[in-house]
Amino acid sequence: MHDTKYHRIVILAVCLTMAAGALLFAQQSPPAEGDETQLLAVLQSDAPLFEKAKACQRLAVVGTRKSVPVLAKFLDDPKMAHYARTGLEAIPGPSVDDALRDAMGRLQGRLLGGVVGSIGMRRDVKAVDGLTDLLGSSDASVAAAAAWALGRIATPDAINALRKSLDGSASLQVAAADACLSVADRFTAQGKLSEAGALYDALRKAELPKHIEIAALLGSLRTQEATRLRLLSGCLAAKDEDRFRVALSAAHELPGEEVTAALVAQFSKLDKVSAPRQAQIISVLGDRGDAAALPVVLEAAKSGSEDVRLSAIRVLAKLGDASVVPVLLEAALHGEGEAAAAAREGLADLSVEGLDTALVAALAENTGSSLLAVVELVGRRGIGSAAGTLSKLADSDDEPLRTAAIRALGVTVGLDELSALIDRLVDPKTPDVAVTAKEALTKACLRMPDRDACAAKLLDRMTGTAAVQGDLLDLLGVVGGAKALQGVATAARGGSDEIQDAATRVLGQWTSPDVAPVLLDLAEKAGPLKYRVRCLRGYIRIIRQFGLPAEERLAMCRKALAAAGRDQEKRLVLDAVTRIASPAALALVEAHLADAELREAAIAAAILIAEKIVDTEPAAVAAAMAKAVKSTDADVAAQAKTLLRRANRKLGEN
Amino acid sequence: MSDKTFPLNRRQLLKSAAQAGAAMMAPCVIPGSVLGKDGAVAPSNRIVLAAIGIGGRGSHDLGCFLSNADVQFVAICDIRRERREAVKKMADGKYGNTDCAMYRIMHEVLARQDIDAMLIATGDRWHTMASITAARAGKDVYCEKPCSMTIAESRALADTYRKYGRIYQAGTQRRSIGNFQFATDLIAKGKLGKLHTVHANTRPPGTGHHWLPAEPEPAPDEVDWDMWLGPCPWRPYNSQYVRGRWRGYFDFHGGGILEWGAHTVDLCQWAAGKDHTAPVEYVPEGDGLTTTYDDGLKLVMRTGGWMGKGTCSVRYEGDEGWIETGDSGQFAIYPESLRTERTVFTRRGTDPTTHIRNFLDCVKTRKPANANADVAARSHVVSHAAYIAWQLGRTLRFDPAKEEFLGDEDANRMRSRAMRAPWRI
Repeated sequence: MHDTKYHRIVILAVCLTMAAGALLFAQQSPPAEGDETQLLAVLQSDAPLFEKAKACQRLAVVGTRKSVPVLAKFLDDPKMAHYARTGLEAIPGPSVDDALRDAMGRLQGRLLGGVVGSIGMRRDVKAVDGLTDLLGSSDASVAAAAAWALGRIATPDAINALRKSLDGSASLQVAAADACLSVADRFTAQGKLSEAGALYDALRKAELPKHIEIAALLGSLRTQEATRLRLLSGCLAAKDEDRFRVALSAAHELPGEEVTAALVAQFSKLDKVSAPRQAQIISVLGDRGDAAALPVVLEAAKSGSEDVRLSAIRVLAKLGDASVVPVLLEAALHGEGEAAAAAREGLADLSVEGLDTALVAALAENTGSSLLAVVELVGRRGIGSAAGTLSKLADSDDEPLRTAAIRALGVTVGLDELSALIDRLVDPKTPDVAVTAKEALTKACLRMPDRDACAAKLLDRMTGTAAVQGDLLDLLGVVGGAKALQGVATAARGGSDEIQDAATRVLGQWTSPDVAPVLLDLAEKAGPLKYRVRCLRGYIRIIRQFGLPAEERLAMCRKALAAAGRDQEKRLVLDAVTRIASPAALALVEAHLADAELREAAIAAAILIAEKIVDTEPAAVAAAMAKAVKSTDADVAAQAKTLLRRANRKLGEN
Repeated sequence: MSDKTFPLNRRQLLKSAAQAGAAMMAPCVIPGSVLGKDGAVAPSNRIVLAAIGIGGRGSHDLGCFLSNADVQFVAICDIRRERREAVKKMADGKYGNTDCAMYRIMHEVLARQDIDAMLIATGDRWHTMASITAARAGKDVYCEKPCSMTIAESRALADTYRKYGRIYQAGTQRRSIGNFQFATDLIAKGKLGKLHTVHANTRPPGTGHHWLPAEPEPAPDEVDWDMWLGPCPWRPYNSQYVRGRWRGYFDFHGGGILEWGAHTVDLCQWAAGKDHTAPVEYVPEGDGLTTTYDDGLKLVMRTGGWMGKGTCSVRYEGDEGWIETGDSGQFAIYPESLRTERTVFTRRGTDPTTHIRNFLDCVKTRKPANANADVAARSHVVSHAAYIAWQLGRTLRFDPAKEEFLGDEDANRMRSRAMRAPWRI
């Protein structure tokens, strides 16, 4: 009992230490150091613009009422005004609003527009009168800013002012309309549909650019339930393309059978001249997924014009039940072009009982291009029971059919039938069969649930030409797992030059870190330099790419450095070490600072590590940076000096 | 109820749109129907596209857009002249003409009524502002990640796209890539049992505050420094920022959690069915964090400890199994019996092709895109909240509905940053 309690305390202590370490690391230096008083002192001094700017940005987070008068003084300064607003806009409390309103009364042009923007962001209701006055400004930019701010504040007075501006000068109309749209949208979100509807009505009555009227129309469709259907039907029937499109937008949002019915009714009224619109309506019906639309879509898929039929076929599978299968099969097997492709796409994903059985039966009932289509469909649906038939078709003299059958086997065979594909790779009747068989095997090997059993089947056939063995090695790489790795490693150690080439390439791209010891062993053993280098680079890739524990990665880095005979690989290792944020990692790269050939790479790596640990490990960083400042690259030396100063400051604080 | 036909003629529309963006120059209107050589797509079915801020990643995105027959690219806007000219050369080469228009001022290109959609691939600091400005001008937008610099920007982005009903696709393309979809689907099918922990691969979080030495400002036509800074704090010009060395500066960059979390935290939110919410607790640990949702599910953000499945890895753990995948498309999966579910995914996680196609389809059908503004904003809020906790170095509690921290004023103050005039969200 005592031991258990002690154990818990130790674990808790370790966790707390780790958490504390993490928190120290998980923080960013602010734009400027110091508390509010120090930041204000900077602003009131003759410090350079940069320091004042950064002080303002910091005050946006830490500033209080005390900062307001100091910041407000800069609102008249073209270079500093935006920075001052950055601070002011974020500070809570009425003193900021007072200061901004005060500035609104004395500024002009861009400076005034900026202040108005900040007032809008803060939604200062006391500014409504002043902003309303600015709607009449001769500066169009200022008037537009005022309209925007009033839209954000959205008191009744603000809204009235905006509504009046809809009938005002042309330059203000658009900005006021945008603000009204914002207010109406907010009302809609709050469930104030009648208020929103009134604003949308006002916008639609005003003379505004068409896209704004269309936006208001969409708002009406969203909010005016009583008249919605009539409005929707009117838009669907409108000659104007934008009104028709806004109906499509609304139909994507609005629920209800009556909306589906309106779409169906409009579809039925359209003649063939309106085929593009019919196609679009069918598409929306598919997106709505309302089965009530199925009869009209089904009919359109049979007898519509080309565009309409294509759209209907695309939609059928979304709405589908068993009734769509004959239509889709007819189009898929006997149709042409996009319609046939769309039908196959639909059938590939359609979940209907009996479809797989029908397709397997269709393998025996069709010939020529229809049979080809069935084979492709069987493959896309991954119908395992078709593997036997596909295997026979894979020997067809008809090349397209043969290719399609082999491809389909790739996504249908199980482990027991894998040999049918391996045979075609190892002993192909024609060269194209080998290429297709390898593609198919790649897909098949990915799917095999028992990796080792799959690898065993491939390894059993590791005879024949080097090219065939190379293909089998590639496939073992796809399979992965212990047995495949063992097989590829054996090939890399003992095969011919071609086999070693293929095997080391596969090992270099292995997708799990268990390959690391194999790669290191091959890199260290005697053999052609090109393969040892390849294996070492593969080993370094494991360090870089895989989420191994930091200690393990560091140990791997040490082993890689020891195995590396050339500076190129040593530089790669030094770069990999930078992914480990620890004093030990820093020490590892520091050890190479004395090597003239590696010195600059080691300094670059040291700086990258130092940046990550300078606040938590200042002593180690200071020691390393004292050497790094001697870099011949002026920029790098400057970075090192900065880090050295930061580390020393930290040490001083401690 | 006003059910009137539109009263404005083309001239008035252009005038109003120009006012909307404070455009200073008359827009050049080129009807999409007369553009380009590609006759395969009917003009009515074509999406007329322009772009803002195209560098390396943006060029890759643009190449993918251009490979779609229903896209007609007509204009580039960039504050750097050499970038404008490079993109024009790319587009004109594609179409065999000299029609691609060049703009320095964003509002001018947004005022063009013939343009349906925008590709935005500026530096991070501009993503929200440009996306919101485009929505206010009635454009649909595909915007590179991260979508925002702060919690407040995230909220404004989602609100703006909802109120204008525009289509938005965040450049978080992994939502449209097979291996990540497959992993999410495994959870949905219950193959991993009850989910208890999701892991997001993030980068070291820290950013710096220093300024590079001042250099003489170029002429605005070469590099418009004021527009480059946009809503960010002023600092002296240095060409290195403009050439791409803006990452790592707090004023321009949301830090390493957001850098990859825009993808991986987003994937975790999606996979866990948490697109509508955020974790309620954030605990900094080393260069990552452990966060917890209100139902106890853990979302761990960490830089290391991954199984080599590629950059931007994610790992989902349930009480019956786990899966780890990344940008390579490869998986690690447990138990072995789940290997039968595996298939081969060849598309890398960085490839935006399918994501861009999803955006284009949604522009036509008006269906919310895979990474729409609402889900993108939510997942970005999580990354921002995590970065705030990490900067402060302490555990924070968070209210996902109000998007505010509980009992920590410092943290709440860090939810937004004042914008330089005349920019506002």
